[in-house]
Amino acid sequence: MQQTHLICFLASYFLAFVLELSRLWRAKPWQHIAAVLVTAAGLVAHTWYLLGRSFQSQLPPLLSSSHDWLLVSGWLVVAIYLVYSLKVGKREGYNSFGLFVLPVVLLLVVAAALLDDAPSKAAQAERFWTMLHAGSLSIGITGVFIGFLISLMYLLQHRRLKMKMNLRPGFSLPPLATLARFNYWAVMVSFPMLTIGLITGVGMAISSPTGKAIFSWKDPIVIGFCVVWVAMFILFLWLARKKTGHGRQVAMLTAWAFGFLIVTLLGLQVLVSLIGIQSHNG
Amino acid sequence: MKLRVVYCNHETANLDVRERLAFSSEERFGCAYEQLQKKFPGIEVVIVSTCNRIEIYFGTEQRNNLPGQDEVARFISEFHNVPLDDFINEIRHETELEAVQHLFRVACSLDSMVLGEAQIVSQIKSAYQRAADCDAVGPLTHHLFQSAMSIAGRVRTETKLSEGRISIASVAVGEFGKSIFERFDNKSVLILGAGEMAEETLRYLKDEGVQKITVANRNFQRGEQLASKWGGQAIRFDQWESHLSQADVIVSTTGATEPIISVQRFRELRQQCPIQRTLFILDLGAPRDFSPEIAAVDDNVFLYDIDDLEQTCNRNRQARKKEMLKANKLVRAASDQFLHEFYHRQTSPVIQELRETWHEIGRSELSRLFKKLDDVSEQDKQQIEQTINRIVNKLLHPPLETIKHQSKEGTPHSLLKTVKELFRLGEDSRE
Repeated sequence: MQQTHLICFLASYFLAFVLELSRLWRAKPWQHIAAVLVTAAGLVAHTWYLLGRSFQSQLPPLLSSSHDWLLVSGWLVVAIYLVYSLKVGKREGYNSFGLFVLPVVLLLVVAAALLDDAPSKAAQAERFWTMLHAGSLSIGITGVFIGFLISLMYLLQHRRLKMKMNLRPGFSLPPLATLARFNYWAVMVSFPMLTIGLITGVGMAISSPTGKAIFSWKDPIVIGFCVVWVAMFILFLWLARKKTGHGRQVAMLTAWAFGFLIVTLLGLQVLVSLIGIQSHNG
Repeated sequence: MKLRVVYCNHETANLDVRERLAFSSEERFGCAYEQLQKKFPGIEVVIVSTCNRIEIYFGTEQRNNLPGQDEVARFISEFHNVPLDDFINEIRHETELEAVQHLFRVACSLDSMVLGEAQIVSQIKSAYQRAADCDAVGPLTHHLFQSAMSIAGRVRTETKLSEGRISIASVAVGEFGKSIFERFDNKSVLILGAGEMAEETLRYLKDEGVQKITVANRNFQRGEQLASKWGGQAIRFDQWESHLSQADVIVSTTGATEPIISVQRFRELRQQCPIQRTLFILDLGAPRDFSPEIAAVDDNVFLYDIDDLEQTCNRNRQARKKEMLKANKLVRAASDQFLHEFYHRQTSPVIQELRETWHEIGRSELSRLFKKLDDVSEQDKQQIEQTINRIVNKLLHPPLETIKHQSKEGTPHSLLKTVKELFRLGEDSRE
């Protein structure tokens, strides 16, 4: 039954993406509204699915498994996208977010479908710390995804302004200043959250007797995550120090760092799950 | 009547060519009129030179020959010291009805880069005024340019061409400026030049909420006037570089014949800025005030010139196809009417004279008759007068209709000459 639900919202997001894509071919005002409505329907199914999983495992969705927390991250991305779409309404330059957000959501849901969905037993033991760990990681990862998308939008907008090109009818991008501001906040929010997630994860692993046995610094996910964390730390410090006027550099760095983090996290998680590399951390 | 226009515009030539052929100052205009009058005596001339077009109208009511396209091209080449090969393929010419239609389309902004823009009417008005000041106009160009203003007004009120983004400034700020900044109320704007284009841009930026305005103009008084009108401050033109580091938007509309800053100097000034702020430069000058290489100085400089806005303007044009059709119909009708009226104006003295001569003959014959007949009552006199008038009108009808008919195609010089000779008009023929 849960598989049916997952396909339900996956199909909704896919349909919404197709509707957004169709605007590039022939733009009509109803297409964007229909895409937002279909995405909202997908979010309802998505919520229902997560609640069902939580009810079944008697655990909050974040504590169950990698499958669940990836879906929670996807849920957060969709929810932020919908709330923002409602807020900006028909403002010029703000109605093509779906084209960027929906492929990422689809990627998250597909990646989640490939991951192990068995509830973790360790999570039940240290509920508070696990909740803090998973919650901060989820928010951090959502910020990373959003930051990555905003960086891409910034680079696209910057390129088209430098090349003096017009955008296709039906496709619009927010101003550079707005994107730079959003990008800044995506880094400022996601980095501390990821750091909290990392510290609590390592702390839990070292402090608990069961965790000590399964935690390893040689774990590919731990190594990948640490590398990206260092890169993000440098970006965070640089951003905090720099004054304005480096929008394109920031967008480039964010796109690279966040893109690498996404590839590391999703790629490694899926690889671990598919070919069975030894890992116990997610 | 003979009429010819030789022109190049944003559709036939790019800005590199247009800026070399532009008449950029009052002195250059005066000099051009002087040379044209010397070269083509007795010909009426009006030069229209804007950032998007360079057009020279020639006209005469006499039978003089108008200069051909090649002769005009040679004049332009010599005047601007630009090799003929550099622009000969970019210039076009129209004559008679097509020339009238061309001017009317230009005045109605149907030929403008930004469809529906209001500025072109005043540019044409000033072009005509300048020609009049140089004694280069005559009855034909006077009537032609007055009619152009009049049809421009009709198109503005009878179509929706003037709705939406209808100035170069609004297109530039709407398409590019708003993709760079999210708001303008906290932006500092530096205006270089104080002409009509500068004011038009300022008006649009003010509507967008701009508060901090600095105007630098070579004529300080003129700059001061513009600045005070829009709540800004005026600075001397040689000080503008020191304001570059505080500016977010630069609108340049000077009439300079060379770029006002070198790439090297611009780079130095940018490097001196404590914060490398985003700079949106709108170069509306023709010739350009900022060299295009300045756009590549750093990531935060966004430079746009007139030609960069063409793509947006074409999209704008596509969206208003229906209104364009309406406006074109009005222009065609007005052009036909102009020519008809003009040809009629040329034939009317002959028609008038013929009519007066024949009626005068009728009246003198009647008075001779009434002197001989003593017992004719007033009522009978009236009846006889009316009959004679009817006969004269009926006799006049065929030649007048023929003249009117022939004048639809142009001034029927041979026919008018024949009529004058046949009926001895212009002589004392009433004996």
